[in-house]
Amino acid sequence: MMELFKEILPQHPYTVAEVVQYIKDILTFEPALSDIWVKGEISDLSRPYSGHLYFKIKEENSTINCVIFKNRAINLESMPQNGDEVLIHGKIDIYPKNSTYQLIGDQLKPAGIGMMQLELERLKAKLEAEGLFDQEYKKTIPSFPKKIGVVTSATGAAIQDIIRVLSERYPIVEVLLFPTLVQGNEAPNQIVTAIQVANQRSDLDLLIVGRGGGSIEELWSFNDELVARAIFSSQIPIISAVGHETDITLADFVADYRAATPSSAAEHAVPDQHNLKRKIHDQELRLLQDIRQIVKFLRTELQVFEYQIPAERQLNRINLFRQHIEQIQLINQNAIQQQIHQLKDIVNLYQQKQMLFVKDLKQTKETKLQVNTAKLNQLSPLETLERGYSIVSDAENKPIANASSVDIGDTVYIKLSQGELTSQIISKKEVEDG
Amino acid sequence: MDKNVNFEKSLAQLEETVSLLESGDELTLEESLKAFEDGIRFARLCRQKLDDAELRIQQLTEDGEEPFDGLRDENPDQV
Repeated sequence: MMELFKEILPQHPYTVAEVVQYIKDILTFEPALSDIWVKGEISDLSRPYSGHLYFKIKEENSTINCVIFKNRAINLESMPQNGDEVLIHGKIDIYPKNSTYQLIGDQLKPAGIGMMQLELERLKAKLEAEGLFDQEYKKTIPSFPKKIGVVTSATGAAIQDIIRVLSERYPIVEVLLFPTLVQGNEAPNQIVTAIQVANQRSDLDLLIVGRGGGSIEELWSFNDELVARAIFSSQIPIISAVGHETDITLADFVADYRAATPSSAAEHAVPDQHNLKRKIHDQELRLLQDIRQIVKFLRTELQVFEYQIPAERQLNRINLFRQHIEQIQLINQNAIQQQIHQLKDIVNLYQQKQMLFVKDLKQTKETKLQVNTAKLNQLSPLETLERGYSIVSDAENKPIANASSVDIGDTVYIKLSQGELTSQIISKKEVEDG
Repeated sequence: MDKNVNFEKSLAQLEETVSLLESGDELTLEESLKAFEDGIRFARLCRQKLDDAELRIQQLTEDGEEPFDGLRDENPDQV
């Protein structure tokens, strides 16, 4: 008997805590129970002052105790009600105090999500049939928008990403944020209103509508029929930007352009200033090339002009060249500046030459004047007398040009360069007419 | 030149001016120089507009438009 007891009675019995811990370990080390979705109906829901959410999830004759702790409970999209069919995600754990196991939930969804997806497919087919997704209705996204409206949450990642990208790429653009909720039951109405308000303004040439990444439920507002129709009706082109690459919502199908993320929406919305600056630089280089041609032309012109243009008009021409050179001097490019300096030197040279020419011209004219005065002087009779000729006149002081107008013995007067003689004709020789 | 002329227009004018200058044959020397002068001015204007620009962000509230401070709220459900 004693031996029997010996066999039965343990030498080292487990403590209660050890057993509970052992069971807890078995449960919590089981991967299938530490990351589990359970579908069922909510009952015995209570939310004590602590903020934790206690309920049972049941199905006919089975129930599991559930808790959603406060930090998760406050993030639930909507508060569950007794009788709701839900999907709850979490892990199985043991509450040591009364050794009950429970599901510690971290996500709760209406079980109707599958239904929602079916509904979405139906809605998508309907809108597609109406033509809301047709390419022909897609508006062109402007190349250089002046003001972009952004419909998203003021506190989300999306607006931050958009601002960052726009600042980097094209800070010329202005941004007007239309703050809205982007998830929850109120979100679709707010998004629709924002799109409509944006369209009542005249200062926006592009809208970005969207939000950052999230679960499919969190993105669900962008599957709302009214949101899709508001996007379709917008006169302002719309870029949609919902979630990540793989999330495609109805909004994306209707939008004029679908961007995978808010950042990529901003990239698509504006040109990149680095490309623009390169483009401007290229244009400038072309201008400089053109002006080099012009400078070259000017130089050739300058070098030949003195052979082609009458000297009197060269000064005007030189002044014109000066004007041209000053015009070209607007730019600072070194190579051009050098050429301009050379051109200036040439112009200065010509101007000096021209001054000399004008001076010469003046001198020449003075010389000519002297010559002409001399010629005039030659016509004066006094001048003739100087050369030894003299004037013979009669008593009435009439010049005698013909021998026949005097007789032998007449008195005539001879005017010399210096003084006068009184003479008597002693013989004469007449010129025969003929 | 008008400060309010927008960037897009200035860039288009720059490109037009360069094309005009390069088409060349119809232009007198004076017109070419004028085009060149204009082109350089447009290029400077464009670059200056990019350099001077700072993104302006307003938000529409019930009280009208006000500057958006861009400070990020830590509320994690507003993604």
